[in-house]
Amino acid sequence: MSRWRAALRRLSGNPSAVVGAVIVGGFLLVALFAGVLAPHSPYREYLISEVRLGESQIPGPRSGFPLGADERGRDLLSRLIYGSRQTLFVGVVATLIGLVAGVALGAVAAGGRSGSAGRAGPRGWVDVVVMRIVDVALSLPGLLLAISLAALVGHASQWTVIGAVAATNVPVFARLLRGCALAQLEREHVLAARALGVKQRWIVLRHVLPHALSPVLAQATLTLATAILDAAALSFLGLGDPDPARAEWGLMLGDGQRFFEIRPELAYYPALAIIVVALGFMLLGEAMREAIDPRNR
Amino acid sequence: MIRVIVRRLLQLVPTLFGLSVLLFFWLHSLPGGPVEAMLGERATPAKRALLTRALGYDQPIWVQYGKFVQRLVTGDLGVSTRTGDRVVDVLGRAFPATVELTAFAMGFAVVLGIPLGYLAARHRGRLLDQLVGVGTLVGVAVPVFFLGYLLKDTLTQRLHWFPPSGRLSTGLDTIHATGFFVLDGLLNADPGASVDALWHLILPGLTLGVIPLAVLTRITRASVLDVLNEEYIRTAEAKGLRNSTIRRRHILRNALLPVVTSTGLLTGSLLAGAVLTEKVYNWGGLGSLISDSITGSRDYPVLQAIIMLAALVFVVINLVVDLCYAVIDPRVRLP
Repeated sequence: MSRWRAALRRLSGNPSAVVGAVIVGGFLLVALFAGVLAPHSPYREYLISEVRLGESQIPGPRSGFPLGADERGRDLLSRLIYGSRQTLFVGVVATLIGLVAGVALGAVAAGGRSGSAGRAGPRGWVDVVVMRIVDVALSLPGLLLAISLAALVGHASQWTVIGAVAATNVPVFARLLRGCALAQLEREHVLAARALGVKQRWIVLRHVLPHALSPVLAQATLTLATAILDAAALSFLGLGDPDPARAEWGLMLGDGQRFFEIRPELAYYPALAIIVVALGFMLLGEAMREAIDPRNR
Repeated sequence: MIRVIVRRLLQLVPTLFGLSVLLFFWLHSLPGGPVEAMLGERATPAKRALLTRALGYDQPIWVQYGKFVQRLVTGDLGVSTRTGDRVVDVLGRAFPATVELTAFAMGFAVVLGIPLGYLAARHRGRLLDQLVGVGTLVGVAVPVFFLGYLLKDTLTQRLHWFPPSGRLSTGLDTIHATGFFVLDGLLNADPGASVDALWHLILPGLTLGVIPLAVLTRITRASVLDVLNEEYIRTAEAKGLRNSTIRRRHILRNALLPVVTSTGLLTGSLLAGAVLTEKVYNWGGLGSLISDSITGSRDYPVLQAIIMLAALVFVVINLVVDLCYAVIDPRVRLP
């Protein structure tokens, strides 16, 4: 485990990692304690009587409502705070599904390909099949694949967004893990395990996966950023959650843009929130990648 | 070389074949099937039966797939369920628009990104490098469509520097022989139209170009730093070569190898960003077509065709990149 500790030490000495960690930590805290932090309910239409869209009037900041209200008279600050929850949920679940499925596929592919003493494994065809599917999925740029999947489902919901974003991440993780795992399978400790008669499945699980996972974890941190950005893009295209009451940054940004000329703040604040959080995950992810492999600097 | 190209082209066939299978069965696995997806849930049974018969959906599934592929290969992509136009014509109109936009965005990214990355690497750790580092990160983190609205709002709505949307000012309708409006203006000996088209290109191009700019800058910087650490740079300096010679022949030539690859890959992936940018600027290319085809009821024939086209373009670009790589770098052997 000293490898991990050394990586952690390198990480804490890197200013961009610290900034990233602070942003991500703050985001997590806000999401966790949204109920305590938010001054109002994100759903109640407090100032609806003052909204007159025909006269392009949306209530601005005032005491009790420091950021003003949105186009339905709901408190913007509270919606932003509660929105962090939904954004975090979509980003994390989409990334996790992509990660787990991708790692499983990649491990199965690598385990199938590599047999004893460098010869092709008995289940080499598994590798071929999995990698062909990965090739097909990667024949479209990521966001376009997500758009296609979400569009082809037919009806929009929160889960189409999560599913579409997750599905685009599966091939990325699968290919990354397969590469790392194949490299590990050539190592001497694997040869030693094999000489002791350890089964291939156990070798992959116990001796290969733990060593091949660290680049995948760094990638996952970066993926969180793109997942949040992609989910926002899907919302913008009208493929997101159709429930207008739900507070989610991508949705708020998409809605806010309709009122750009009346009150651009409705778009600015959620955009800023998305940018800052995406930046945080990117800084942390890049730093993790550097810490694992100092050559990547 | 030709043998390599042919072999690589043949390797694309299973990928595209796989995609067509997935698309076909995906559409057929939708609740209610493609007919309901096209007509909506409230269509009368008679109407449904008519379309089912017309599209051949009452036949066995492998016959349907065979016909689907047959039509795909012969270029018959069906009819748009939204407008009733032939999908081939719709794509033919939209494709040049997106190519023009993508080319402009990529040109902007390359022209600015490579020098920026180079400068950042040469001034490593200093203020310029740090500014570039922060800038490129922010560039990737900003949602494309938000950037589009921001530029549009400030530079056109408030300052009136640029035209608000579209590809050409109204009243400038000339003959569009190629569909590339800047080129068409020149072909028609109407430089005014070209300038106008270029003027319309700037904001959407910048919007779309920001992410590739950021990525290219980072890659150039990293790549130049790698090269600077190489022994042969020290050798060249020790030989007393002039700085400009070292820069051109030794640093840039080697450092640009990964940049060429990324440029190609980014060009392919710009189609995704184009969906967002084109919606903001009402551009009328493939991206607009996608967002139009998913608002309200889905226009599956169009969507299907765009997805296949996008995949084809993407894999062909990747192939071209590989080939270019082999030409630039004699060390690379193509498999």
